[in-house]
Amino acid sequence: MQNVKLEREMKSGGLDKRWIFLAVGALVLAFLKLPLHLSYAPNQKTLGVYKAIEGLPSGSIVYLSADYGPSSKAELLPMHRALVYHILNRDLKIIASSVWDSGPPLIDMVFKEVCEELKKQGKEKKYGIDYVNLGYKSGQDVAIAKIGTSIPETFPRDYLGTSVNQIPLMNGVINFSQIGLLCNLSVGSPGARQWLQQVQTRYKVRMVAGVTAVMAPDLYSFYQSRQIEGFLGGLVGAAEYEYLLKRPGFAMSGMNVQSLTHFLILGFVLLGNILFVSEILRQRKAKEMKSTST
Amino acid sequence: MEVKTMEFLGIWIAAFLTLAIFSFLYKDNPIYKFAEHLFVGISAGYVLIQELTGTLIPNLYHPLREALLGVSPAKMSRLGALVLGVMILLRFFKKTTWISRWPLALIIGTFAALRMTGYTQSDLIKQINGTMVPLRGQGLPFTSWEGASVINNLILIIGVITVLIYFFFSLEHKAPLKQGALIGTGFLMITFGSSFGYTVLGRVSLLIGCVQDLYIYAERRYGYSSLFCGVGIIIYLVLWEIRNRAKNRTMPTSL
Amino acid sequence: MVKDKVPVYITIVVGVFMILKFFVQLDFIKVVADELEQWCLVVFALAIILGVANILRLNLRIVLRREKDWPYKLVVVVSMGVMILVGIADLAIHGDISTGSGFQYLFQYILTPLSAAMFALLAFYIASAAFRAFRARNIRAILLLVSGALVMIGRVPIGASLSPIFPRLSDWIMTVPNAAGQRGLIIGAAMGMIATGLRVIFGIERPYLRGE
Repeated sequence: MQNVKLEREMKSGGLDKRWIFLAVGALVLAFLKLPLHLSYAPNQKTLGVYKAIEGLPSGSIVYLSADYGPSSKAELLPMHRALVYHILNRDLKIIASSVWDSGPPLIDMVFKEVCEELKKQGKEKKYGIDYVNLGYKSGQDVAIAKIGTSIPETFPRDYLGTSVNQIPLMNGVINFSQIGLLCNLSVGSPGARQWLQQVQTRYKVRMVAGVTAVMAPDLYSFYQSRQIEGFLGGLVGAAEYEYLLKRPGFAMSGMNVQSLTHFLILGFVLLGNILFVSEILRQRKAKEMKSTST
Repeated sequence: MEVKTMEFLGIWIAAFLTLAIFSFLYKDNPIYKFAEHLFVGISAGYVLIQELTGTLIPNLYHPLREALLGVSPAKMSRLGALVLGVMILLRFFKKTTWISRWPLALIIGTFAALRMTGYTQSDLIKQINGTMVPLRGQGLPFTSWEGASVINNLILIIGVITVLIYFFFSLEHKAPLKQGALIGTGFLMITFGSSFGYTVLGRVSLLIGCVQDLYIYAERRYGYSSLFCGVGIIIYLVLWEIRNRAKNRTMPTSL
Repeated sequence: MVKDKVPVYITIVVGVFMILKFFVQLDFIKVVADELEQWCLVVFALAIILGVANILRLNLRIVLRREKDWPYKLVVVVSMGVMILVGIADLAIHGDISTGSGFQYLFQYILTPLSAAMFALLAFYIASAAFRAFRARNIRAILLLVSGALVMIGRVPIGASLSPIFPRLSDWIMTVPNAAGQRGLIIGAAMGMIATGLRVIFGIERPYLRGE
């Protein structure tokens, strides 16, 4: 038992992983409120999302599919808030839905928060006229394909149980021909890729996305092929969007400690490799000494 | 700012559960196990209600009700969905598992068809289309950090082709395929490295979000809940660890 | 025949119908395909409910037999029951489960922090993995680590504060070589998906006949 423990310690460079956990935790706790005045330079992908919404004529409808849950709310909730604020502030309309079961309460929560904020600025937004939450639909790719075919057939009732025929915003909305922009927030599958496959490419819909950082590298190919006009990648993307809207929020406040934690992790990688190289050199030296002595 | 009682209680529960999950970083312990099992139970219950309200009531119950009341007789076709739905529930019992094959076949057939057409249009044709980029003319700059340029487009084309060569196993990877595959490997390493960089970004962001919440829970209006819960959990872990070590010392050692 | 052959025929018919829907502009095909999609949504929802029922059965069995860790399984059963009862009560009394309902309360103060914290643990493990596992053993590993490091530095604001070259380099890596590599993977996966889809639709692969 002792030999196994020794071997494991040697492989990890003699460092209990809990010290690493402590270092990360302490850094985040200590520096979260650190007022580092960092500069932002939103990239073309973030600007693409901003310009897509800015360029919509007043009264246009944006279809927002919030396909994420509480597990990724740290990354997606800030961009969800920023996007909904931007859309409603420009007097555009939102039809929101989700193909993730944990999406609708988050949609509800964001609408409530943003509408309260806009009310304080003198802009009253009404449910059913300016925005609507159609709720959740199971079926993943099938649900998305069905939404593309007919929105009222897929969602005969909204999240509150009201028939869509009685909702003024849904008057005349049948499919994506009446939608100005598709905006998808997603963390995995079903998500942006499925919306691209089942709706955007089939019906040539204008689309932007907000995804977690893990998903972002995939979307660069779709951005290059102009299937999406722009996307926000992770908390950094959300921070850049908040910066563009001049509306600092959770995303921007998290960037300081995000930056420092990256350097800490790179430091761990460097330290691990230094220990690895020194171990190899030590073993080589030991081998040489053994061969010269024999 | 006045805080309602239920909100106050909710914040304490949220703070305790967040820190209970984080206690796993020390060691697997009873508090973490409790939180983990609570998560499983609550998630399962949540999913059931959402399926009920999101799909079964609006897409099955209401259409059938309208059909039976004569409002929309055409919706009687939804009876087929009900029958297939009951058939899939019969998978619950061992003797009737075979009946669920019919609705499963429906789902799989639909998924296969939709995915096949979706992947073909979006992931195959459009992506190949996007790779057909100009290498000269049309006012194309020679280099650029972002956007199209001669060098960028050339690297894009070479990258796509060599990565596809790497995954082409119908022919043995001898020269020139071998060199192509080698270059493709380089591109794949850059791709995976970028994914690693973004993954770190994403994971750290999740932690930052959680800690931001803990800071809010630690505010005076919420009774410094994070602090008290944190101290309480630490005290519990210390006592639990002492008890475990005492138990291990009193156990007879093997020969 | 009923047990084995009929499901295969269902897959073939449904699969062909769903493909035809996109290529043939006939009302009959559209109406049938639309209804099949609705059936799929309902069956999918009930399949998920079946999964929940299975979780209940497994945990209840452990509790009743007092097997290992049964108190924790009791937590699963009780919490599941509470969530379902609260949801049904909200539907019966208020007619929905939106903001202000007990269901939303449990989602906001129990499910949300648990879910968020569970995934936040990953940050610690990635730091630990960075120290233990990311070794520059050869040229390929060095390429991976260097590109990862450049993206990590360039993508955060502090990278731009250090030098304007970092965000530009990071962006270029993501937009050009990363996009090329990703595209190769996407095209390859798409071809695989097409082959698999055809095999399933034509009954060569029969995943619905497994697992009994």
